[in-house]
Amino acid sequence: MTGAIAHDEAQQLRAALDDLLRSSPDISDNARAAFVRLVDVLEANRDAVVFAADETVSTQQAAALLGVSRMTVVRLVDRGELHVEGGAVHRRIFVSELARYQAESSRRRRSALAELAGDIDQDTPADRVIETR
Amino acid sequence: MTTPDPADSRTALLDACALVPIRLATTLLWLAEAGLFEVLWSDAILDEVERNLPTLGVSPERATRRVAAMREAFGAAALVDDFEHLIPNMTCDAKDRHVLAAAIRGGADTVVTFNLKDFPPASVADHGVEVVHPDTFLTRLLAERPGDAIAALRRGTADLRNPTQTLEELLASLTATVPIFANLAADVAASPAESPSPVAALVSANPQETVAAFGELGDLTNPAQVALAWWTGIITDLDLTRVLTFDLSAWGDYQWAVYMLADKSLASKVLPAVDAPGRVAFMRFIPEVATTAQVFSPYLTAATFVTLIRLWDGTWRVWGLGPSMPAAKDVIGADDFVPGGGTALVLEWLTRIVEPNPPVELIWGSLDGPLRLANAQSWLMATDEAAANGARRDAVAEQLAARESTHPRFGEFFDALLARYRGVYSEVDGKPCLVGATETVGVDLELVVFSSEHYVGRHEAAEPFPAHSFITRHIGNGEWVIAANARRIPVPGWPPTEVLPGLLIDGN
Repeated sequence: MTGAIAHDEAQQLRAALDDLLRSSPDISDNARAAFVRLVDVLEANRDAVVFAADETVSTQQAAALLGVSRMTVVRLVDRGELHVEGGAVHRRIFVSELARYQAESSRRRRSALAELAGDIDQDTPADRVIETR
Repeated sequence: MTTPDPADSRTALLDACALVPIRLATTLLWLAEAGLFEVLWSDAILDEVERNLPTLGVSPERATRRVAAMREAFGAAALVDDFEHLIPNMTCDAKDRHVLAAAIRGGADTVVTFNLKDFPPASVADHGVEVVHPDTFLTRLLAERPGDAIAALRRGTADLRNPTQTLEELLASLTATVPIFANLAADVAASPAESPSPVAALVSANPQETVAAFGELGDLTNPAQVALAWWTGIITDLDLTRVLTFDLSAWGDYQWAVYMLADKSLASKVLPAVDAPGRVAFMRFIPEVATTAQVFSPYLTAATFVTLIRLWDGTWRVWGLGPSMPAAKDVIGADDFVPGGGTALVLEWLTRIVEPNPPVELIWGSLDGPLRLANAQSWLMATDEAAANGARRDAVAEQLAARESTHPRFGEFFDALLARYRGVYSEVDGKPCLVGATETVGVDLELVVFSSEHYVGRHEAAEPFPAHSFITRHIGNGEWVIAANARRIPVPGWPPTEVLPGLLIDGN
């Protein structure tokens, strides 16, 4: 996938941001990180959507943002993996909660998949299709 | 956080059989991690994976650890539960009802499994779920997002440590389970600069370009030319097709191939097998359509693959035809098997016999004992008027027939033999070319047929062309000798005679 901004442009933006942020010491660390993150995301993706951290979304919107089906969001909520606000009918999820879940789950996924890959070594017999039961 | 494309919304439930082969499972999960699809499974499926991993040589402890890592990786997001109440409504094979029920409960659009036959179309039609083979599933993901798929595979491959592997090595190991995906992914990875989809690059829209893309006419070292000539023969002249077929016995009267290739065209792109790039290659027949430039659906569903094998002399033959690609080890054998070791000897022999002073140890020394003796006997009967004395002529024949003969008349004998051979093989003209492939005619005997490269792959329809049979014999340690310059084995005597070689094949 090509990003919305090319690598060269992204580098220029980072340098400019760096200068600006340096000359504005009052800006909070979180806000600084958000600016830098926006450049990263636009370099790697076609588009970005910015939310206020205390904004909430529906389970349907959460599914689209996480790139999973609505059924999966419902499951995640039911099991307490995603915290929701509101009653059983119109459940809303804080965008900050989605960001937390995504960061956590992708970190966990990466390390578990690295472990799976580590299972493949020179003694691992060749793959073969078997009838499982 | 970004908004995913509609294409990102694939949700696939992976059946246990797709998760048991370790490399395949890991590959699928890398693509899920990269967001190419959303993965679903159930406790029942993961338990089945854990139970069956030991069948593939994974210890039970390791199997437990492995499945725990899978759970950990995708957590509650992948784990479908509360589907038990749906099981009784399922009509697929009884042991797979929990799989289909979990897919429906989880909102999956696809079930990925090797057991297509256990999910008859009628059992899934009403549920909005498609059951697909892992090879089909992965090939679709590759076609939809080739760049992302290859990037995900490269990132994952970097985690392989003991030993480290290249992407190509990983893909080679995947040909055992998902050969189409493995070979196409290798092709996409090797040509990143080409079109964003691997589809367009495979077919040219311009007929003239298409013809040019197949290379020089009749060049048998070019697999595209061999496939093109083989296919032309299917339509116009089966003899041409037979000459370019590796093993005739697999093809019968070719009617099934004629049927399979009706209304299809040969795409010019040659795909080297990722697990044996120099030895095996594939080409694709695709349905004929008016504009061929951007064919998408045939790539996914209706391709027919022709498999080609390279012989030791660098020329190619058609090995097989079908909806899938075989793993290279199924084409060339699991060992490093060189087809027809004796064939290489005959090639050398026919190539050098036209030299002004060919090496005696090759032309004469390559002949098997009985053939040398029978040659000596024939020559003595034709030239030696004293050959009437039985005891003496046996002694002379044996001395002449020694591999390193020191008999005073050997030079004269050899010159006569050489002249005779040159006459017999005159139209080969030092440019031998194998016709078809070798055939086993005895425990250690192979029959090979040679013609001149002047004829093979170029002859006009229905016109016979000269060819010569040889029987080669394996004498151990990969060493071969020429046992006969014919289809029969010589039997020394006065005069020498011939017999059919040793195997009673099909009672003959």
